[in-house]
Amino acid sequence: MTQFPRSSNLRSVDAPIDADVALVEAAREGDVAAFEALVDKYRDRVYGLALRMTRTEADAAEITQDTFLNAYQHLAELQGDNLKAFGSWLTRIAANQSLMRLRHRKVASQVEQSLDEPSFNERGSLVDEVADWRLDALGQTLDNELRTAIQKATDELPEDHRRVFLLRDLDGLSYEEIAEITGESVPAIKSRLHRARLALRAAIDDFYQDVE
Amino acid sequence: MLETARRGAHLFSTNTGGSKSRMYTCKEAVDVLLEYLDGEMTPELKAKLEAHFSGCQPCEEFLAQYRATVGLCRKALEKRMPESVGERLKSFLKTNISAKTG
Repeated sequence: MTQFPRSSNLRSVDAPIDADVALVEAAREGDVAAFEALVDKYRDRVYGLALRMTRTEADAAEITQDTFLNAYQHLAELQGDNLKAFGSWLTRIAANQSLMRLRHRKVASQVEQSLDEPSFNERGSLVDEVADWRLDALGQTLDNELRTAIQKATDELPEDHRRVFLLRDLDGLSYEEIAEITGESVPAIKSRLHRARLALRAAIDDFYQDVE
Repeated sequence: MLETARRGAHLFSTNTGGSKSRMYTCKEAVDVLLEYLDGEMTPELKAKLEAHFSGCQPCEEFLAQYRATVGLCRKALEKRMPESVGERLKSFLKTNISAKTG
């Protein structure tokens, strides 16, 4: 059964958007065109979250359908200031739907995998060579090989680390929202996020070291 | 030993006597990067960490990479809904919402 985010606990990751409020209010009154406008605005966000989480296009398409239909059916739950948090609320519904889909899959038992972390000497000093690639993050385009390397590194993260990284850094959910959806503690979520970022940093660094 | 380690090793205290005033080691600095970027450190610890960054080029570079990693991953993992899927979504919602409201 779908779990809907508690409206009392919403925290918007978006700036308040008056246009969303007007559209949600109109949709609640039965204006289908207003809801279609919300779908057009948020469909890439929902589909992207579902595809990254499930890694299956068919699942992502179904989750997107279910997310918008469920959102439509529960628009009345958005009241007061929470009306301004439609995007965040929708993201949480999509995250719930995606996690439910993952739980239903036959998943091989999780084995604690080792993650790439920086190396330190006995005095606690960094001993990794550091390639200078940080400015690439500011560029407009991304090398296809780097894109593939990042995708691969993300896929190789332990599932609980990958999930937290995606929900926090890609989809913008707060630690508390992730804790509510996954049932994990905030300290555990932070620890996994940090280790995931370290592993991805190492993968990107390896990519640039190989290119040099 | 790598050049990076040589550059970094002499730039900060390696006193491990447990004094509150001793500077962070690189390892300790890396361990608290998340808290630092989330703005969750006390002013005292933040100042201590920033003192380490200002004296340790490898850590300053590592911090920049840690920050950049999120931006690069966002770009690499961005997904857009294909038009065909968008059309099916519209059709699905039209049918199901009309059935609900009609």
